[in-house]
Amino acid sequence: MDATVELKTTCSPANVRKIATIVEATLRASISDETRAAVEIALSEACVNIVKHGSEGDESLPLSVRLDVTNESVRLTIVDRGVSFDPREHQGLSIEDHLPSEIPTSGRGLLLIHELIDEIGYEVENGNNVLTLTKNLATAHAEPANDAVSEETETQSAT
Amino acid sequence: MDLEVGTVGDWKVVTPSETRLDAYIAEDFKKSLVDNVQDGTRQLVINLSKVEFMDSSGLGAIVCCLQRMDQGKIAIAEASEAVAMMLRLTHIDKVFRLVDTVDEVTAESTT
Repeated sequence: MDATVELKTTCSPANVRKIATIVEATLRASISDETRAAVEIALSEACVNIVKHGSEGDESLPLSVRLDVTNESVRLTIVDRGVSFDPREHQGLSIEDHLPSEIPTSGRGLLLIHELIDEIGYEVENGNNVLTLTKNLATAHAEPANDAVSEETETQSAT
Repeated sequence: MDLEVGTVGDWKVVTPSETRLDAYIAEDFKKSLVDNVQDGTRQLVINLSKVEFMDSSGLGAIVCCLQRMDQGKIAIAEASEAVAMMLRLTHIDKVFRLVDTVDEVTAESTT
């Protein structure tokens, strides 16, 4: 089963929600619940980091997400033009060593991305930050495709 | 955001009506939670039976609520598999008690 979906929008929490919802719905037909949840959480965390930190509050900056699904993997390619940030260089926050009263209220997004995603790629191309998140389906999570996402290329606007 | 609020024994029980607790709604969620513990509530059950998706922003709202409670306890009930996975991966299950049902925790205070 091969499917590709491209979403083009701008950097706002509302648009991150729309992107995550569309990707989750696209995967629902053919990907296991556990893998789908992992991809949705990692996507949301990555995009929220871009919106909160990369775009520095500029909600007009472009944000695009491409979803590529094959029998072997689910790959997300997230492109933005904000402040560059390579998540491979940061493991994220753990609550270990914190007293309950001192647990930070934020900073777990990177931890989740590293825990849930098999391969993380990052590069800057012509001012675009290109983050790729790949979840392998080697454990036979993939099931036969149905009509919802089969061998198609689709471009949508999430705005 | 809307929360259904009730009391069972020594526990206040809040049930978010939203299906997604993400960055889009995290600030409202945090405010609603904190508003509900400002009366001195020290034992809070958050019933996530209606929640299909939660990310670290939603979780951060719950952590913030705990910090506003004086030596408080928070239990999280009826988390979906996806939400429970996220809670375990962040090790927050060492701070918040995860229970299958609201009754599981509230029953303890009445026995």
